[in-house]
Amino acid sequence: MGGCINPSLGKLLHAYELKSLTPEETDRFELHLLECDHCFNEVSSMVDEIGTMLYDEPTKQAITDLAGQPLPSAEPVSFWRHFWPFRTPLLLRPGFIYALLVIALIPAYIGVSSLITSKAHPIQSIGLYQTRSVEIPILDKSRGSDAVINFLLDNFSRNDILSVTIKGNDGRAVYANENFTGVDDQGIGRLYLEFDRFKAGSYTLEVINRKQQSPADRSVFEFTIK
Amino acid sequence: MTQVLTMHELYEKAMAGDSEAEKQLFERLLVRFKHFAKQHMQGEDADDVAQEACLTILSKYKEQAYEKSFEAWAHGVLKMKIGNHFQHLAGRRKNIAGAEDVENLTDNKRFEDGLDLKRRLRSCLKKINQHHPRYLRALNLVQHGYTTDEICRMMRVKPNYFYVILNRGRKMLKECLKQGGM
Repeated sequence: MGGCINPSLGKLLHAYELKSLTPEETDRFELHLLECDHCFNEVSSMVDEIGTMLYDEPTKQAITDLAGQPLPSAEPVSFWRHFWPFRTPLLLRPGFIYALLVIALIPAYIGVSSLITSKAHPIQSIGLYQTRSVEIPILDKSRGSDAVINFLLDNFSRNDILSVTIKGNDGRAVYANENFTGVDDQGIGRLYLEFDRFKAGSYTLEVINRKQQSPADRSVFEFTIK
Repeated sequence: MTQVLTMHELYEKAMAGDSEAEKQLFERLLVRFKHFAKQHMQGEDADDVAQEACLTILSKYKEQAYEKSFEAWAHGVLKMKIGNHFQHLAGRRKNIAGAEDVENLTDNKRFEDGLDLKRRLRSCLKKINQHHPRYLRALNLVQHGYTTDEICRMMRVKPNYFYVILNRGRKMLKECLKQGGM
């Protein structure tokens, strides 16, 4: 006698006997039983035994005693389902709220991280005065990328037009501004300096008041970048 | 040695006018139908319904235009007869007593006897539980009315493996019963 003619249906045999198939599966299996002598003979051979297991109360109780009382079927909820419960309105789903929070925090994160990565240094500042002091102010490139040079002008009035030039040791102009306006009413000028345009060395800052056209209004300051 | 024809081959021969094939076809159908009917109802009623279904099929199968196959149609006829039987019983019960569930009509009293079988069964189930406890667990859950999907979730197995567990347990049970439950 041969085996089952369709093992993919034949595997349902005991589930059929125990009546645990759905009505559709039962129909499919019974159609299979019409054709498959092997499965039909198998089913026929255990009718009384299976029936006793299904209907005889003491036997059923014996099975329960052996296997233990089944625990109530708790529906397992997947981890992700906590974040995206289908029955909750979209706006109240935790996953949606978390997504909104993350989107809102991205600009703040970018701002903070760029501040941290920019390695912010305090801006150096030096004051240049027309004194006979031998001490020349020094700017240190290793302490940051920028500096502010403050210089004091004598005889400055609000309508004056200033020409500012920074020259290196070789007399070549590194910075020039023919119409410098960064001077306040007290004659204190402020010049913002970006170090990457300067090499280490000695420099002179020359300020000419062109309106008055007088040599006495030419101011020269010295400073060093190291 | 005689060649065993399939049901479809018997049907085709019967359609061609082979009366011997027709006889074999309906004998085979009747045996199977009796079994199917017994899955749903008590012994004598099951035989009656199976015979009635076979008679209907015999009287109509030659004129029938089948949507799927002869087997599917014949199986459908049996299902219809079983349904009619329950409708009839439910109506009668309503008229006489009312109230009780139709399902109770399928209570299978014939399995309440057979002390020797029960003893052997219990002994075998106990033995199987020692070697293949998952079968007893599956059996227990089936008896408590859980569906296949629920059982698979509770036992953390896929349906295919659930069927493997059942069939393996059944094989052990059959073997054990053959040896007298020893």
